[in-house]
Amino acid sequence: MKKLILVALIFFMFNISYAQSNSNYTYQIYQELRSNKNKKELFELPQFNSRRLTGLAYSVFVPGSGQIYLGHQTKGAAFAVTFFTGLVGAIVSQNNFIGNRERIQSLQFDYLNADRFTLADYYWKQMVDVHNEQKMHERSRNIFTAATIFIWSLNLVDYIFWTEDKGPVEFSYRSYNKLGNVFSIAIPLN
Amino acid sequence: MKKIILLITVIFLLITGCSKTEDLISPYHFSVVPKVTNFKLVAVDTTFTGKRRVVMSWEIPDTSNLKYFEVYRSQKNPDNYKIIVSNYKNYVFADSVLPTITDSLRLYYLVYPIGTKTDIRTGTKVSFIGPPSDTLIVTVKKLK
Repeated sequence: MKKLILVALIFFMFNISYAQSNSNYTYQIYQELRSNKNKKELFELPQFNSRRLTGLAYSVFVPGSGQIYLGHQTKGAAFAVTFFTGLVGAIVSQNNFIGNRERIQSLQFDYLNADRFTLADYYWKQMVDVHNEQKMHERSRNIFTAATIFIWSLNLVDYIFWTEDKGPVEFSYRSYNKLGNVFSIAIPLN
Repeated sequence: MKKIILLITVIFLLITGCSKTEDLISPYHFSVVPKVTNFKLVAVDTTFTGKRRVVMSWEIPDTSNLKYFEVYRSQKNPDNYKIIVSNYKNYVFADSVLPTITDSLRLYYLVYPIGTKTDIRTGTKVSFIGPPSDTLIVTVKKLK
């Protein structure tokens, strides 16, 4: 289980770093910032207009959506996927944790009502097994929750300091492939 | 707007509901009545009426919560135990009502100590069947 969580965390980090490097625009800005500015200037607040404030509100509630709003689709999607993966992991672990607690309560009732040693011992061994399982779910829940909070915070820091506004994109029909007119539904994101 | 409120509620419940694993209650079943020890065969002999008889004995380290013993016997198959004596308070038992012996007979014996525990619902004292002894295997041969 520990290995699985470690692999998931590495995947999260890789996912974000890939998104960062995949966006040439962001990479150029980053390089520019690195070459021309010192560490203090790297965290200087950019000017906040109505678009940036709207994007910030989006990013607070749905991590990555602010970045998508400002035109950084890949990075925004990476933040959103990573955040929701962590959140789902935490919810599932918490759900298993509660399930284990209820199972222990049920087993405890049976254990205290047992009228023979063999039966009581059977319930006791099950209680110990479920208790160990519950501890494991508690650890994974804490790790997933911490990772989710970290991703959420990183998303806000990234949005406030390192995400430039690419400007609004007009929504219009554009065919990117040679298939011609394909029946589809398009959703304007910004 | 509803989705945002739902997401905030989920995160709030997730963080506030993060309780720690509670410790288990301390086990009681090991200390109600102890396991019977030194369960052994004393003799395989014959009664005055000519029947074959198995005599066995045992010990128990603590009698403070002990009510009586129950002796079980199984023939051929060690999973088919049937009670042969209950409410027995001595430490030596002679089994003289054996099944019919054709040539030889393999018998398996178990002793259960019966103690008392307090019922959690009613608060009254109820019987508690303690841990079984080690199995005693006896082969009885027919007299010629």
